[in-house]
Amino acid sequence: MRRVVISGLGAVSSLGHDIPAHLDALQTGRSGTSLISSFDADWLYTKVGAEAGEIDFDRAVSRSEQRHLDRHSLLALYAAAEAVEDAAFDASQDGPRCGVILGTGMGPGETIDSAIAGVHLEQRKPRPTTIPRCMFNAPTGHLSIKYGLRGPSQMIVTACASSAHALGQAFEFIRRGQADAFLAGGTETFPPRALMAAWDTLRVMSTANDRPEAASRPFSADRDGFVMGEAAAVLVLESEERAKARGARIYAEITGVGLSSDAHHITQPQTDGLELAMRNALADARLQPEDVDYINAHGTATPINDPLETAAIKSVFGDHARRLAVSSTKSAHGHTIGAAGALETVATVLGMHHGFLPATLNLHEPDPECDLDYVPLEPRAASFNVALSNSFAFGGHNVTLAFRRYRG
Amino acid sequence: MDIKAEIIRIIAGYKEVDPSEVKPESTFEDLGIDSLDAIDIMFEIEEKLGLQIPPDALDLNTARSVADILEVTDRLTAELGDQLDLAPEPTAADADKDKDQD
Repeated sequence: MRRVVISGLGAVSSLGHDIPAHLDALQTGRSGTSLISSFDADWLYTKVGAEAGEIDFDRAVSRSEQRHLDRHSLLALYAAAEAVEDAAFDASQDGPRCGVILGTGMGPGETIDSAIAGVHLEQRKPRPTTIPRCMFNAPTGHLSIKYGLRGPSQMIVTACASSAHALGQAFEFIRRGQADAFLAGGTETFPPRALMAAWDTLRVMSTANDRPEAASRPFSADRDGFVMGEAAAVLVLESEERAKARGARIYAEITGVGLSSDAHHITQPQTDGLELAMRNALADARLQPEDVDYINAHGTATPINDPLETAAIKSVFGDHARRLAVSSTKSAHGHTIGAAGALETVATVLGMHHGFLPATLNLHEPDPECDLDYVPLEPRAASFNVALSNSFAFGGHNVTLAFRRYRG
Repeated sequence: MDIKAEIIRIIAGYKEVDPSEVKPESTFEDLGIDSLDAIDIMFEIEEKLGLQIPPDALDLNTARSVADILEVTDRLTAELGDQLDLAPEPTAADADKDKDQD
């Protein structure tokens, strides 16, 4: 099987609008969570979010194209433009061998909101372009068109595991020889307002409205839920041959993907499923548990996830669980749902490439059931070679990706 | 209201060009209007003129120019005659009414 490398990174989130801003935030331990300003959240319990803010989309998309695009497509195009430039990626000679696979969770909130409000409040017909704007797969279509990617293109919708599935799928296609390169990642905006309000009533989001920048507190004794975030993260994945042939800079290698399902409950995770994803990833990457240096945890900061994930890590890694580092960068950029796996892969790869372990911010006093090394409060300088990234979704879909420092 | 001029203004506004650049003989290709744009423009015409253009009134697969749109709107407005309820220019009184509704 062929080796698969990461040769380009692009990201936009509450931490900033490009990779240097993300690197800076991760290296200095800066949080992107704040009081929600993009809509009126006063009537909700949760008034904190991780918004990407006003973005200069003109840099990536012409004005006339922008009006046919929802923010979820714009975010994807914006992050992809950075990744493409970063990798000097060009599919003009081998478009049929290049593809695009993204993940998204809850779709184009702004467009759905305005269409629904018009129909219900005023019996006003939505614009015809509402359909191409609202398609969950619109971002992949636009990326395929923009960059001439004529190989496989997909949008994967598995809630919080969407973009981890996307990276895993792209990895699989490249290593099996079905394609040579992919733009792969995820995109997520705030969901339609009705769903945002429903997340509120589901009581899984933090209500730390009095300290918004410290609202996301994974593994902490006083954690009180996740912070909804917007983001897009797009990576350039290539076969080792393609990357080497063109002298590309290689950030890291993807060496395995572990997939599993809880087959248990639509919203409650179960340790068996989480363990199985991690074990499958280790087996796929031909790793022993003690080879792993760092796990970028799913670490949502919900009461239920963090002790379960901790227990699953202990079960899979045994004594080594005490030696490896685990952290949740959701403490900084919130839970970006369908973009989470890709954004957290960016954080993991930046740490591996630049020699630091990203921190779990706001972790002053851990939950007694969460007793691993979570790299609390501040990032730590460290050279590491092997990392995993966990993504566990409502629906019981679990993905663990395995990365290794690239050695030719 | 001069419907022709209004439609030309709508198309020009959509393409962000001066209305003088949009002529009846201008083709969609000249103006850079693709099939999705054309459908979106029909929507704007309906909205702004308060006109219903049924899907069978204009075949967008064969429509090629601004004249094709004008022909349909001419026909529809002639058929409707006095029944046509063209959205009037908003008056100050209407603006006040809108405010009350908000």
